Amino acid sequence: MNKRNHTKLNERNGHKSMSYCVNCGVELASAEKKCPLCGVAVINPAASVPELPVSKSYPTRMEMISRKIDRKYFASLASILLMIPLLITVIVDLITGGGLSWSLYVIGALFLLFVCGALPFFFPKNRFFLFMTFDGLVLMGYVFLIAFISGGDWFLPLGLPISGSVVLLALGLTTLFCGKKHRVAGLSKLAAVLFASGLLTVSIELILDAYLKGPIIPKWSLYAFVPCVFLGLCAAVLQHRRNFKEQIKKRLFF
Amino acid sequence: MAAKSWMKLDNAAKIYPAAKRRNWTALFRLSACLTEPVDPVALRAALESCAKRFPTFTLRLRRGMFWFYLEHIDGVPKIQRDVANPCVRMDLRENRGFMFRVRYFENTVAVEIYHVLTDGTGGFVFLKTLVAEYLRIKYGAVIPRDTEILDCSEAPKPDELEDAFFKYAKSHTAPRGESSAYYFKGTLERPDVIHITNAQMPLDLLLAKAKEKKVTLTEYLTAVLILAIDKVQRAEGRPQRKLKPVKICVPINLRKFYPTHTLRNFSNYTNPGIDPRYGLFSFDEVLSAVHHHMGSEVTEKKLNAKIATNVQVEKVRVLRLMPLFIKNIAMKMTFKFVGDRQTSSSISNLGAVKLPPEMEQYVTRMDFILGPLSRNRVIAAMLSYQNTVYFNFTRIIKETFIEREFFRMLVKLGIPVRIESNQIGETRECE
Repeated sequence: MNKRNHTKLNERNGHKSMSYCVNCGVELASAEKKCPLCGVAVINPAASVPELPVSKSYPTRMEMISRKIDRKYFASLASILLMIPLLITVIVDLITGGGLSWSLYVIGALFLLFVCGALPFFFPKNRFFLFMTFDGLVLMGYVFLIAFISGGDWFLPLGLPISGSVVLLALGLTTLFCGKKHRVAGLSKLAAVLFASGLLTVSIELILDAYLKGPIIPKWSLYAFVPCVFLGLCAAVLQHRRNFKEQIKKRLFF
Repeated sequence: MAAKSWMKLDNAAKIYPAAKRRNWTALFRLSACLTEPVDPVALRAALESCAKRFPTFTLRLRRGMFWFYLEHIDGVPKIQRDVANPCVRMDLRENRGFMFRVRYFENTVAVEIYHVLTDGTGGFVFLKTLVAEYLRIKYGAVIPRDTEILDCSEAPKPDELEDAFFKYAKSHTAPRGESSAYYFKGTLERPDVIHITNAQMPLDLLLAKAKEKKVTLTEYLTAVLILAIDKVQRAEGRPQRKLKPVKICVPINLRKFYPTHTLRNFSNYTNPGIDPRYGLFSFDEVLSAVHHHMGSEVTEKKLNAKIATNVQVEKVRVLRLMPLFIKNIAMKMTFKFVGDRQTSSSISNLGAVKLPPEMEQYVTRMDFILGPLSRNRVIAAMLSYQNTVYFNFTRIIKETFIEREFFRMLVKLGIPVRIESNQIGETRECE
C-alpha cells in the first residue's frame, strides 16, 4: 500500500485525532505519544497503519539559560551589604564620640574587605595577579592607617616589612598557581604553601629581632619552619609517587 | 538631539523590576494560530507599523535615583523563532532593552510581554492589532478598527498611556492582610524547563454546565481547580487541623469598571477559596463559596479600596525619597514574603474573544499562557475563541498531580477535554 493510500485510510478512519488516555479519560492530541497528565503510553489498536505526519503546537528547540553568575550583580549586592555595618559604626561613633575616631579602623577594614572580596567582580575577567597586587597595596595602606591613628612609630620597622613579606609571598604563590603555561598539581600546591609559611615565620622573627635591636638569629621560628619544610617535602615527594598517593586518598576520603 | 521621551512605571508595574531575578521574569504570552504559515518578513513589517501606534511598548527600563522609569527606544525587537519553553526568562540586554518579544512557529504568531508594560488585556489589544496589520500586509485584508484592534495610521491617544490606577483610585483604603495558602511544592525543574499543558473544551457545553449551577465559567473552573488542589493536599497525609486554605488568585480586569482605554496595567485580583480544616467540601459547596466570594469582592467599591491601598503606599513621601537600591531590597522582600503566598494557584481568564469576521476567517485558534510564578508552581490561563475554551496550565515542577485531578474532574463532570502539551521532556536541548 503506498503512502497516499495510507493517508486516505487514516483520514477515513479518523485515527489521527481520536486517541484517548485510558487512565484519565481525556482525548489526546495526535502529537502526544503518551498522556501528558499521567504518562500512560497511547495505545492505538490500529497501530499497524502508519500515522500521518502530525503537526505540533510547539517547536522542539528549547531556549536554555546559561548558569553563569552575574558578577556585577554579586559585587553590587556585596557592596550594599558592606555599607550596613559601615553606616552603623560611623553613626554610633559620631553620636558617642562627637567625631570619627575608632570607627576609622572599621572603615579601613571594610574597605579592605571590599577591595579583596567585591571589587574583582566588577571586572569582566579574572586578573589574579593585578587584583592581588592591589589587595596587597591596600593591606599595607590599612596597616599604615592603624599605625597612624594609634600614634606608634612601628610602621616602617615592623608593619611595612611584615605586611610586605606576606604580600610578596602571596604574589609569588599566585604567580605559581595561576600561570597559564603549566598547571600545578594539588600536592605541589600544598608543598609550596607549606614552604612559604615556613619562610614567613622565619622572616617575621628576623624582622622582630631587628625591631627589638637584639641579635638577628632565627630561634623560635625554626619550630614552625622545620615541620613546614618537612611536610612540604613529603607533599612534593608524594606528588611523584602515584601508588602511595592513591593509598592515602583511599583512606582519607570524606 | 531631541530628548528621549520617558514615563513612570504604572502603580502595578513597580514591583516587577524589583522582583525580577536572573532566571525569572514576570511574563505572559498571547498567541494566534493562522490558516497559513507565518511570513517573518511581513510580520516584521506589521510589527514596525504597530510600534508607532503603541508607544507604551517601545520602552526600556532604566534606573533613576528613586524609581525605575521607562524610556522610549527606537526600532523594534528582532522577530524570533519560537521555542519549546514559552515564557522562559527574558534577557533584556539580549532583547536590546525591549520588554516584549514576537515569536513565530509554523502558523502561530506569539507575543511574550513583561508585566511591566501591560496586563493581559493590554497585551491582547497589541496581539490583535499586530495580527490585523500582518493580515493587511500579507493578504490585503481590510479589517475594521476600533478600541480592541487599533488603527495603526492614527496617532496614539493620551488615554491609552495613562496610569489609570492613579486616575481612579479614591482615598479610602482596604487592609491587605490575608492568611497564607497551601501550595504544592513538588520537584522543581531547572529554570528553563517550563511545561505547558493545553486543554481544549467546548465552550457551549461548559457555559451550559455553569449556567445549570447558576455561576459564571470562571467561577465554575475555579471551583474545580480548588477541589483538585484540595485533593492533592489531602493526599499528602496531613492531619485535618493542619490543612491550609486552598485559594485561587483570579485577576480582575478593572477596565470593566472604569471608562478607560489604557494600554498599561489596570487589573487587580481576588482570591476565592476554601478552608479544608472545616471538612470535606462538595462541588456545590465550593461553587457556592467561590460564587459568593466573587459577588462580594468583585465590585467597584471593594476593588477601588484595594487599588487605593497600593496607590497610597506609592504616595508616602518617606518611601518616595528612599533611594532605589533600598526600595528594591524592600520590594524584593515584600514580593518574596507576600507575593503569591496568599494563593495556591491562579486562573487568569481573558474571556470570550470576538474577532471581526474579516479577521476571524484567518485565525483558527488563540492562546493565553502565564509565565511561571515563584511559589505557585502550577498556574493557569484561559480564553475562549470560536466555541472552544483554550485552557493552559504552566508548570515548573515535575509532578502533574494538579492538572491531572483538574481534568479528570472535568471529564467526570461530562466535559470532553482534549489535551496537548509542549512535550518538554522530549525536546532537543540547544542554544
